[in-house]
Amino acid sequence: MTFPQFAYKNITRNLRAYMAFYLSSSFAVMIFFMFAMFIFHPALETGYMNNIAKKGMKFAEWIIFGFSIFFILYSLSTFLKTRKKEFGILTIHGASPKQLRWLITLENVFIGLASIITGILGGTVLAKFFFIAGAYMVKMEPLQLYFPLEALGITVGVFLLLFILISQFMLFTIHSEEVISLLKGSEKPKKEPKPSILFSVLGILFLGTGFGMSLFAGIDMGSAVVITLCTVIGTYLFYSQLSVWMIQLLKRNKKMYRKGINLLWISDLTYRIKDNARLFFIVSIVSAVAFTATGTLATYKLMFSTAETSYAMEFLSYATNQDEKKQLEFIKEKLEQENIDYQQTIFKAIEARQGPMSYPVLVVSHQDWVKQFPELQAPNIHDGEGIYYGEAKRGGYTIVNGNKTKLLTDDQQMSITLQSIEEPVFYLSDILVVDHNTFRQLEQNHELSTMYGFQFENWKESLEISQEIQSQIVGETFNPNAQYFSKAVRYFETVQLPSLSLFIGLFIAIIFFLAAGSFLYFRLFADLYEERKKYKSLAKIGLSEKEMVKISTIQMAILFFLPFLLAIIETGFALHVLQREGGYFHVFQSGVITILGFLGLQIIYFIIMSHSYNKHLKEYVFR
Amino acid sequence: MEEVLQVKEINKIYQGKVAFQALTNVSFSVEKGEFIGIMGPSGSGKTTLLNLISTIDKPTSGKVLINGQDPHQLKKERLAEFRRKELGFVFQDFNLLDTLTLEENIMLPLTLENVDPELIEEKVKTISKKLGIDAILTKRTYEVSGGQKQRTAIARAIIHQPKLLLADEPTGNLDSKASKDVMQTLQMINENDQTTMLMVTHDPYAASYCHRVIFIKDGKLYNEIYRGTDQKAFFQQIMDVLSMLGGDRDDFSTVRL
Repeated sequence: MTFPQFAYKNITRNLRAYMAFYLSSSFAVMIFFMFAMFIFHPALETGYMNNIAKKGMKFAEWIIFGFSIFFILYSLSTFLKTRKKEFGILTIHGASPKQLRWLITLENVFIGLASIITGILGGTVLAKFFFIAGAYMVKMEPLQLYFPLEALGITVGVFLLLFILISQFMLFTIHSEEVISLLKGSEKPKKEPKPSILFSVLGILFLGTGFGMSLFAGIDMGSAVVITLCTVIGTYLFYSQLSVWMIQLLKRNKKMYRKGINLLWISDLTYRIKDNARLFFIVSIVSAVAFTATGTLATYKLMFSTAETSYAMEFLSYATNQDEKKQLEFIKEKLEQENIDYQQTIFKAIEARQGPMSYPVLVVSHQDWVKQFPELQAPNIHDGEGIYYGEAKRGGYTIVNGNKTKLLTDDQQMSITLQSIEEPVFYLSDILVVDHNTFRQLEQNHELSTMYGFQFENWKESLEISQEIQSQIVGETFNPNAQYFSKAVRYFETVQLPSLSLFIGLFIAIIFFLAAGSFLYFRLFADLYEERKKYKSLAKIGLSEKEMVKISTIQMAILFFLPFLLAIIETGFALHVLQREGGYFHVFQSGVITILGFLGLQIIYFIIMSHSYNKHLKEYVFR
Repeated sequence: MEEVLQVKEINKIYQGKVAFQALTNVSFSVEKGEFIGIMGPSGSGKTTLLNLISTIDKPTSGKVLINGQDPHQLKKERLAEFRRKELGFVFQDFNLLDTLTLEENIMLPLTLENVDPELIEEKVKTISKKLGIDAILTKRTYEVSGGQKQRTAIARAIIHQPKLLLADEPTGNLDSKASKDVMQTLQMINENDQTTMLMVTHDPYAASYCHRVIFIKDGKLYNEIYRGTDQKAFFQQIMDVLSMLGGDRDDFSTVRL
């Protein structure tokens, strides 16, 4: 038996122990590869993704890589811990440090290669799925699957290096230990941690600073980094220190602590506090990222799903407009050029302002309105009455308040009683229909503006001419004399263009949520063997099946929901910043929806996991 | 006399590719307050027998009655309760929980029963004083010696005053000094509290503390000997039977006394 054969057999014959490590590594590779595939996608190379977005994606990729390092390091250290005894035995039988190093390196290369292959295969399959599902969700053409040479190269290269480096690092920690402690290996229990007042205070300070700044400080690049750092450090200290305090508090209450199974699960929490702190920390941060990404996404989605209007193009020409004729000709010319069969609507209106915000409105005579829009069936109105076509609230601001409104023109002011507030008809402006006499009265001192509406099928195909018309009428920025609106342009700007960033957000959210879930999974099943041994001896002295299930369920619930709770709080603050600085309006609502959604997923995940975990335990302990 | 344990005609067959009969028609009974040892070469079925009595395993046929009750008839939950209330266990590898202090380990059976914490405290105090471990109660398992661990395990096994104390090689992991401590502890408990005890061992010195030693060979009862007043003579008797049993005499140390 040569040494590489020994290393090989060591893996194949002890497959179960290696499985968790192998799977978690594969998972990290898979995520990295999927993202790389996305970045190097040819459609995005040539497509409309700008440089900033590309830089952001590259940044995200390296974050994922950093997270992979942490992930692999974590699973490798738990894995090697269970094998310390083996290394001790090998050392005692005369394996030189060089051989040991060789063994561990070989093993890591074996497992590394295997997980790189699995990760890439899994990534390809999942990526296809994501491309389709994501495309469906954000209404985008599905991305083609391609042969990702660059992504392949970078994934294999980076991870191979990582596995070799990590194994060397692990060797370093093993070498520094005495043979005897290696031999005692995992049997040697960890010392009960003592909380440090300094670090607890620091933890509170960091969290407080992070949260406080997100509430009150001005947000720029610098303070965003400070907030993030404070929150991350604070979260770690929170778990590593405050959890110790809390458990000590629990333990001090003897009546509670020494009641039934409490003794078992509380002492177990103490025992694993360090492992738990690390796990809680990673899961909290990763979940917070996922929630925030989704919350932002939901906000975005809400913002452009406001009411639909019926005209494919609208052209509003104010009284001051000298080029009205020319512009109108241009529109018609373009429409005819494309052989578009359109219906035109024209009416005259008066520019005015109304309501608490003095929001611009077009005033139209009832007579004219009923003629142009018989299908709206506007009811008859009297002197001083009106019907409003528009949204009562826009982005958190009240446009129309109640059924009385003050109508303002340049030189007049009158009060109008609103009979009803209806869905908007035009995108460019809200409409206030007043009775003919009132209109006459206003008309005397005002020039009339003209609104043109063009209605036709297949407006999505009119993007090009719409863009031409827009640059003709509005120009680069703004034309005080005329406004133009095209559904096609708006659709492009609000749906197609942000789709990509939405898709990326969704992608990151899902990946990070999966990552948090898998952390929990690997942790649970890495501990399963030790746990079931413990429960078996407890069963001998009379622990019933029900009690065992209860203990393990409590412990799992803590693992699943404590970090979730902190993640929710952190997400709340992140979304608050978004609302305060980014001018997003529906943040609270979408945040709640997002978190409820994730909570639902988490509960389902918890139920499935605790069920299968308890089943494993039961089968082993109470056959 | 009252019979605490009755083993009636039990057979145990391990199914597998080749079925293996681990125990054949084993019957015996133990009276209240008795201290019984079970000995035999490795593979003779000692541990199987103990597992059947301790309700961890089920016999293929035959009956085990503890206090006239057949625990194998009980439902799972009731069985757990039965173990908790009627039986006490001492294991070769102690089976103490590393997550708990010694004190907490000892009180575990009582907390599972939801006994009042003050009463628990009192009981732990009495029992630990009796076993000489009262000074180390707040220590953790890795901070104490094997003998102290085993005495802690014994304290845990008897704190709820079980009808029957089962011990599986209690001295197997201990040196001779610690073995002596542990055996004297068991003997004291047996004499003071009239606790019925059944101990599986292959240590003839440990066995010499028993009132009676039952020998098994190849899954069958081979012999049983009673102790007179002299422990040394009993030890010699045990050695003689063991050598007849066919084990290598060198298997057993004679230097213990």
